[in-house]
Amino acid sequence: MRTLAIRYVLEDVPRLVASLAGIAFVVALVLVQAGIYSSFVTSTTLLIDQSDAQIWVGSREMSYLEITLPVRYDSVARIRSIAGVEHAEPLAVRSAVRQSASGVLDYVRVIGFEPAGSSLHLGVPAETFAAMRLGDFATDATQLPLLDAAGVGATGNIRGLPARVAALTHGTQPIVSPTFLYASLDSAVAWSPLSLGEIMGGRVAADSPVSYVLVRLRSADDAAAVRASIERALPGARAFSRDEMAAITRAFWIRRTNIGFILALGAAIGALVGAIVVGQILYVSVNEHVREYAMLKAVGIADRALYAAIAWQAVALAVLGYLPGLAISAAVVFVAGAKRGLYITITPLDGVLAFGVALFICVGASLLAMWRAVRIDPALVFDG
Amino acid sequence: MVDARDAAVVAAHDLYYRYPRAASEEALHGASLAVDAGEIVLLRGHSGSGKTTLLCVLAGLLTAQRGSVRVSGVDLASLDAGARTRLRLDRFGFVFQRFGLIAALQARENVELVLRAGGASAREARTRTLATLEALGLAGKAERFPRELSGGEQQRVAIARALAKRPSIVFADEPTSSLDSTSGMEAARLLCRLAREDRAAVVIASHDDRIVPFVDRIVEVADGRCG
Repeated sequence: MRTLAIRYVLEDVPRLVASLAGIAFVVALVLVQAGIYSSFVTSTTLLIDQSDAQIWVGSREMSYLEITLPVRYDSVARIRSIAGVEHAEPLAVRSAVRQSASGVLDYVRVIGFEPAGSSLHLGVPAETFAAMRLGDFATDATQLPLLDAAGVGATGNIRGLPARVAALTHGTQPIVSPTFLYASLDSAVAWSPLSLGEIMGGRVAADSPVSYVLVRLRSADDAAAVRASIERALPGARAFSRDEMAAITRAFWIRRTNIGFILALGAAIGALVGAIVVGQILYVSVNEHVREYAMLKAVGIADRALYAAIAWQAVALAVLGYLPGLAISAAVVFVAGAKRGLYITITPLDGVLAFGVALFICVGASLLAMWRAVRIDPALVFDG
Repeated sequence: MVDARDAAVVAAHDLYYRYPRAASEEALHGASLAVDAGEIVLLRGHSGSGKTTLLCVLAGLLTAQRGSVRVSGVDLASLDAGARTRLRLDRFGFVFQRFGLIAALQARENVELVLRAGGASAREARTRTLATLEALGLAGKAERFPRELSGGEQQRVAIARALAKRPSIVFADEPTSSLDSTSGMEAARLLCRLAREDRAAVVIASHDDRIVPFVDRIVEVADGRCG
């Protein structure tokens, strides 16, 4: 029956192409949607993932990386004095509007940190960071068009102060966030002063609000004790582990954007369309072979063998449609990355998932054809 | 245990059958028939006489509203649908007016399909298929698709499909009516000769008198009764 199933699949090329197009569409949709989802979720925590700080000290009310209440700059020194802390540094997340040299405005998120010895690892050589002056920043290469910047050296201003592209990073920009500008804490304060001291002095002051204090430990074994010490020393602050920070940030974006539901809905609609296409094609195929199915039933072929023959056709369609679906997905991923700077990650697990979906759709869609086949009257073959 | 090859393999008694939603009389109206092992019987009658309906009821494809059909002593009415299907696969061979070949399969594959469904191994199915096709003069055409064969050759493939599994009974419905005179005669001659060699009973429904020389007995069917 397997041979028969394959022959039925291959006998009508235009119909086969239509089936495969439907399945390939579903596979590509599922893969790209899954890739967008995982890339989106991964991108929300890039900053956290790219640091080697084991503890992020921030406000207890922190919603996610970019929405939190400040802690004072002088708490950095207090944390440094806690036993078990090897390194502590401030991280300020602030908002600003940058204007390019030609006048184009872009809403940006300024990530202010201390480049020398930082716990952030953005893939930029240490000497490049060390050479950055007040008003310089690094940004992800994909953000240059949004900043109306041609490349390193492109100038602009924030609040009338110079804001120049000094270095480029790669794979550091969250998909949904405003453009991240990585700059020294002094630049962040100058571009976006929050306290009176900052406004008056234009520089970091003891009462400057920072978003987080990043902490590296002498020994990872001391993490719990150090976190407890920090929280005792800084009432109102909480010492988050890196995993906690990442989890809170991911959860915020997933909840806030409903992205999982939206992408799953898109994939489900695509799957439904694919199922209808495949189901209709298999049903028509059975109708076209009514006399042959009647003959098979008349000579004693069991219904379950007919089910199997149709299921084999469905499996063959799933396998044959999956491969072009993969190719389409790869093309979409390539184009999205190369042309739009949108890096979609498709994992082997996504590939397995998409194949499972294709198989499920095809076999599920074949149920109607099976129902039709078993209702064929075998005596039909005796009609002259 | 009854040996199907030594006793009446099929015995029908007082069959009545009316097609669902049919406005006319019963297609079978008290038909009775017994066919012995190795016997070749021609059911002869005009179109609409009930020949094909009788064939379908004997083969368990239709269930009579009254009367009984026993195959090797087993009442078909006592079998569920699955058992009747299995009986057809194991014990019956079929030859249809329009051949009933699967267009997408080669001649050999058409025959092997039924053998494999019956449980034969791939090797056994291949061997028996090729031997039967050779006996029917189709040795060189086993790999051809039905569209590449003449009508007579297609009917011989259908006969091979019916006989390759060594059935107890072969049911043939108008096996010559889609063929020209020469091909039809050849198909009927081969069907009867090979069935006789295997001691298979054959029930042929046909209005073609040219089959008469090959059969053991003629049963006239008229108005749903056997004469």
